[in-house]
Amino acid sequence: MPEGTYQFTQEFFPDQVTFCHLNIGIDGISLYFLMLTTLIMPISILSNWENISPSFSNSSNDYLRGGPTRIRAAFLLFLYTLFGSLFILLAFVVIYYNVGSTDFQIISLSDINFDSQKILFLAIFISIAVKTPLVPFNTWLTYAHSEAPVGGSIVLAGVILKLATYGFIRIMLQFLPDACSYYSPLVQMFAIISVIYASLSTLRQTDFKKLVAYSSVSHVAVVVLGLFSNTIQGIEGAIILSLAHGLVSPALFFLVGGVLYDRYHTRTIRYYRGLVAYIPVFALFFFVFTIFNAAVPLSANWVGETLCLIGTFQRNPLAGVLGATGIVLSAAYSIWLYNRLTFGSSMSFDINRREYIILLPLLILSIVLGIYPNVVLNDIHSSVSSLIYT
Amino acid sequence: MGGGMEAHKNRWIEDWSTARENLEHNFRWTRRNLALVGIFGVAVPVLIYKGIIKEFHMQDEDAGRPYRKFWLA
Repeated sequence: MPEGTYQFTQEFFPDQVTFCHLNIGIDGISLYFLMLTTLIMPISILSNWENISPSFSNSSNDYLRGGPTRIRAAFLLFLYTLFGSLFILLAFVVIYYNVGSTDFQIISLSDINFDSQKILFLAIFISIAVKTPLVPFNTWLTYAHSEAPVGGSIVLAGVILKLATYGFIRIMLQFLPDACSYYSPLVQMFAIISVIYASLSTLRQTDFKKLVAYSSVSHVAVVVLGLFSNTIQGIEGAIILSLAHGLVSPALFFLVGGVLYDRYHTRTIRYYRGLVAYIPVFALFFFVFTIFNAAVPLSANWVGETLCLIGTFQRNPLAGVLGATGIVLSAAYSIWLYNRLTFGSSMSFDINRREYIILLPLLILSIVLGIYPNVVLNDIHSSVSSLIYT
Repeated sequence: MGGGMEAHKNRWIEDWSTARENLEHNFRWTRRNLALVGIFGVAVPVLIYKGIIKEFHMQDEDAGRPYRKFWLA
């Protein structure tokens, strides 16, 4: 079988329907995102167990109920996504009109002319930049995270943000390579601005869910830097960092939005102190995931971030250095948050069995990927090589 | 979960927390804000963009090839 092609392909409605034809399959790039989604979905349901369990006596909540300004957050999410998706839909229609198919392999083999690629890139970039999110399209994310229930935050951080990464790889790098080179300084500029501005915004947050949301913006911007470095290290690092972020960020949202918010019903950091004395197991998990979020060595985040920045530095040292400032800022806000929440004096119930079971697979996978990233890198190497060199 | 452990909301902490979250209600186009938007919203991104392109062009010069074409460059 040729390297970098799709496996486990499935064809739907080949004979019954004439106007559409659906083929699905997996390759090295999509495999791990699929596995991440499969892991995150039951975790997000279990994380909201108190709200959906039949024995829970408080009738005011259901799985989808959010915070008091959820209408505004929903409007922002809807309008931003709708605005971006309009352009990407038009772009897909143009691609279909030019190529005659929407099959990935057929489009990647066809030659879209450079001027068309430039316009298609801008149209698709707007949509994917909203979902990534990159500054200045990131406003919806912080509202969505702070108002969503913990299950919603976990799905948003663990799955939906990775759709943007996957969109960059699958659509832009694969179908529009010339336009990607032409616009790479522009995308790198947006990514660097996102890293620095989002990190600085994170430092001044008073709501811990918004803090973790802003830190997500900063980390996914490093992913974008790696993707547009046009190096194998950069793209593989971007995939690893996406996967790592998809493990660590849901865990952080669960710890702050699930464990702490379930007990204290407030997200304001000022109310919290001294958690290490009374809920030490929570403090341990929180410490581990906080330092993983700050990309400490032996974490999967470190592997991904290092590879992304190495790839970026190889192509453009200035972009690499500016992107690396996010490491310092990330350490600053992570340590500040951990210090503020866990030291001092307070009282609470520690992690229970359900919460322990939710956190343990995320912790083990983050450590395994950090110590032995070849588990993923070996499998994605052939797909990423064929993406760059074909 | 959380029975009896809810944080006792403190009016001053709530006011302090809200005061930092109300930019969209209280933003005004003053000279200071205009300057900040101009610097951090326009000047810094433009400088970073020009710097990245200059870096690419310096690599092209060192390699002895014509400058690569980028958007607005």
